[in-house]
Amino acid sequence: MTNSLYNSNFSFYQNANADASSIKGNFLIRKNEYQIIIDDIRQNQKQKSTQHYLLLGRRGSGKSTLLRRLQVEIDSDKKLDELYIAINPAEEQANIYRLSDLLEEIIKELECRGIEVGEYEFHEDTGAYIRQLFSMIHSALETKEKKLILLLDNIDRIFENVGVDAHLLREDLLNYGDIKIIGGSTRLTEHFWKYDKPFYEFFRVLELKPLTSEEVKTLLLNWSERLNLPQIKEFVTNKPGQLETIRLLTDGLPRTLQFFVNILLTRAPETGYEYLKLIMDNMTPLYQERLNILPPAQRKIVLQMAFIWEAAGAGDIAIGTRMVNNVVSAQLKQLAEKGIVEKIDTGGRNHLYRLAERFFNLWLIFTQGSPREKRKAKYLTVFLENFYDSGELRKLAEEHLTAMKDGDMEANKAALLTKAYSQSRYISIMLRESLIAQTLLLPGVHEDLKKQLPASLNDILRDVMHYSHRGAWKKALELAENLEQDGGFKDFLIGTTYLIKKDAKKAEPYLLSAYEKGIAGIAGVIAQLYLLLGRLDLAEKYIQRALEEGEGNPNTYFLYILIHYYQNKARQEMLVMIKHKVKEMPTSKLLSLLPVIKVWNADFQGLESDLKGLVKNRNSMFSETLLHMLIHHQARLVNKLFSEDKFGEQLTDELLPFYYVTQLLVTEDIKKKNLSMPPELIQPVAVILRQVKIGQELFYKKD
Amino acid sequence: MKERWISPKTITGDAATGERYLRRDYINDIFWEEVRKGNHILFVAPRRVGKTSIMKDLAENCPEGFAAIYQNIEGVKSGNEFYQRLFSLILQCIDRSPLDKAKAFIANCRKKYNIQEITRAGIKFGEKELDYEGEVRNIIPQLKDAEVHTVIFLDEFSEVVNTLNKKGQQEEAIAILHTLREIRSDDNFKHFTLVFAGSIGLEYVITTVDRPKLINDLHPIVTGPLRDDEAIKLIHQLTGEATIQLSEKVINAINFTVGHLLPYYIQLMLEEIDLLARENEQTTISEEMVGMAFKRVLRKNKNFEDWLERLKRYHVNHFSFLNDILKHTAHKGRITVQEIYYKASDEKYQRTEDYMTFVDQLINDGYLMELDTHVYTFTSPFLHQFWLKKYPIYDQQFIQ
Repeated sequence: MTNSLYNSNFSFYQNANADASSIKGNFLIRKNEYQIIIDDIRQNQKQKSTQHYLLLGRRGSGKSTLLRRLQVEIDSDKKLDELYIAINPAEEQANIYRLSDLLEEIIKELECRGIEVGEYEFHEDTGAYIRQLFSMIHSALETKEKKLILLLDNIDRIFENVGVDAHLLREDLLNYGDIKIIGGSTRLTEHFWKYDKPFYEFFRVLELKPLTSEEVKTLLLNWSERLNLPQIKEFVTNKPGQLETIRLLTDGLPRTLQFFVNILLTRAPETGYEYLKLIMDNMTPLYQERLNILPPAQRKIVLQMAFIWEAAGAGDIAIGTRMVNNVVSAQLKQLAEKGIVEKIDTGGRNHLYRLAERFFNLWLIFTQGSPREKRKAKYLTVFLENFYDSGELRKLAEEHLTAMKDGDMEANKAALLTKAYSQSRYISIMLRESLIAQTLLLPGVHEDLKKQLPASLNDILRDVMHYSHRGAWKKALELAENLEQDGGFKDFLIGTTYLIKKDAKKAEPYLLSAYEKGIAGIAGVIAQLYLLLGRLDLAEKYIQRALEEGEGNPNTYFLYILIHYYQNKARQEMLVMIKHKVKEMPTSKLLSLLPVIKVWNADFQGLESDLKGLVKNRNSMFSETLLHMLIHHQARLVNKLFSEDKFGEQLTDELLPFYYVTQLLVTEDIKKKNLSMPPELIQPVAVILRQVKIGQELFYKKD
Repeated sequence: MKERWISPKTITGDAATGERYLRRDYINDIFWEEVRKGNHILFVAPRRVGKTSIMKDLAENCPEGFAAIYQNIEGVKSGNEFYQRLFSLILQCIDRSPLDKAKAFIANCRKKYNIQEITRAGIKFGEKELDYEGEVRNIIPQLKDAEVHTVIFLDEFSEVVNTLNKKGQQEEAIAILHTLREIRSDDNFKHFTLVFAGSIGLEYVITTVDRPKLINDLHPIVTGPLRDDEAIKLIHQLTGEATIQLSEKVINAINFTVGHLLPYYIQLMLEEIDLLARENEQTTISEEMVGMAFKRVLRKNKNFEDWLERLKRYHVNHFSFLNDILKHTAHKGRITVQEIYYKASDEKYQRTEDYMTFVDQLINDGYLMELDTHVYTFTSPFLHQFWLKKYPIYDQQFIQ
């Protein structure tokens, strides 16, 4: 059995030029659209009104194939063939500039099919000439008692050329009803939706959307069976994740999908870089064509967007291309209509744009980017992250480290891969550090690449933290700001400095940016930030990510439980978790939280001894624990601690405001207690009481 | 084997005929009543209301003693071409009558005008070049000999005037309007009725050539949306043999969603529901699917953008006032005349004198409809949702 499908002459995804039987046999997707149209043709032969269709989809989405499939059906079905003639002037379409050109092509084709139309004379008056041609076509059709089905690929281009004669076309279609148009277009141009255009809402639009997972699966399984290639089935069955990634990267475009499957089946996975390069080489003809058909201005914009990679506003793109803002906006609109660019509606005036097919974006960087752009290597990271799960990726990075140590790799390639891996959020800081250190040891790494490798994070981090913790904010920020490396580390340092300064608002954008840029191990820090800002929903989102991304340290679990606690949700799960974690990792933070979670769950067993344990070990967070005991109506239990023979007095001295709060809560004679309170404590006691009240409203509010 | 899936019998774009068309008898009755009175008719409605379908149905089903023909003439580019078409249409129309007198009339014409054949595609004349305008004037008084009342439906007539106007041939356009007016008012031309329609609104085009008097004799017939019961009937008619099953509740949900019950929007919904059902292989339609279909129709149809563009284009100086009314309506679901007046009194608009003119314009152009006395809302939830999407934030100070 051959393992190289590239050497076989078969094309998975059929093209419009294939013969009738293979068109029929290989038609596996777009079946709903096909069925809708063909049923309409079959069922409404006698109808005077005619439904016209517009197939809307990107290049490679299957429009031409669907048109061909319809033609094959009409030609080969005896009943349909008696009633209809399907004409698809695909190859001649380049010659069609005017409506009369189209009509001449139809007449030629009718004559070819043995339907006599007769001689026609060219007329200077375009209108009269067109009417003459139409009239001849109608007469010929009437004689043969047939209707004409006109299959027009790229109908948008035809409409552009037809121009002012569009009224003649519409008039004729409406008056005679013996011509049905089924057109294909990559975009919905204004001809179809503008109120003052003749073909306003004239067509029923059928959108050829990206293939769904199910459709991709059906397609592949069918290929597998039909071509006797069991490895496709194996792939579909064993690698559902990778299959979904391919679908997403190719944006569900059947034509691109075919290339991917070929690659996956014919090559053993090599290093990420080689793998990517191989795919790129094979994608080149398809993507090159896509790029070439764009007008120069749009090509420039597309390239700029590829290099920006993330979604960007028209303004940013205008700066990058040195084009005028409104020109860029107009071109973006057209690119969006062509399906090349995806518009992200921000709800405001300025929308964001990015290239719709992510793999096309990768290809553009890979093939069109300058060495500098290629060395940014973000694309490689994205590719790797999409292609491998976090475990696989870590394994690959470790293998890469070994390969470097063994000297098995060309230096520059090794450096590029190091950069790609070290930008991935799935790689731990330690592994990243090792990768960087090992890469720097390799002889012959390009200087430019060396500079782009992340600096040794630990050194910088240490210095910045040193200043931050001493309150030398200015110095710490300066150090962070002066970093030349990108990749999010700089943002991380600035953000952390602000966070230590307890300026969560300022820290937020930096930490988020650092996270977006792939700095690993900071999801937990961001969760903490949101906890400070009181955005518990976001705190939960990020703490969840921290756990998913492997930040399984006691602090992460502490935050995880705390965030759920503050949201008053998943009570029982949190109790199970904290009991388990306290045994596994009895840190002071987790221990201080244990009684709180217990009392929240009304699990009073051993509560008193837990609290006593905290006092005994002089837990630094004990006052927090006390506050929550009071919130959960345990003032009497707290009072017991203050009255304890062994440590009661000392505890009272240390936590005097809490003592008074407790007294106020347990005593019935509030007035008396208030009077005995030292005046300097009135304010702090009021603050704690307020916190208790807020906490009780959160946990015990009446619905 | 799976049963074959049958889609509803919708038609969007071309006019609906036969079983795809829902006749509203009262429109036909009013129409023929006016024709009998001797009126010439102007169909008034924005695009996609279904004027063409109504006219085609009227032409196909005319009462005894009448012969009618429908034709779209939007491709006509000159005065001579217009008269040639009209002349041909008159002959084609009479040729349809089975009456002996009509046949004799046609036989006579064949000889006189050297006609080679009369087909659906038109009339082939011999070598002789005719003065078509003169022949139109000649032939109409003779129609009484055929003993057939001839009714000619000229769809998109306003486009012809518009084309001539745009080509700088305004005088020719005015001349046509004059001639037609003369024909209509001549007592000798009683066996002849002209019916006009056009998507750009004949009144609007005539205003551009500054001759409103030339059409003010036409009797307007306003075609509006379907009533609830009519919409239900249409849905049953279109889905009777279809695979999808619509309960009464679901049909009501469709009607509620479409709001302004134009057959076009009802059909867009049915098409999308059918597609959704096919995708999910689910024949029984739920109310949830109606909601999903609504969203998909809204997303797919770029023409809603054009509603906003048109407002900007045709009402350059009053756009912000009109749009303010629409934004308020979108956010509050409705607008009262008091609220409109409150806006009109704003310093930046100062339209307290003529604010109702603007409300009328929004109604005539198909944006708003009167929900209750002096309470207005969007004609369709499609437009309503589109406006909300377009203007998610609304200046609160105007909301009273």
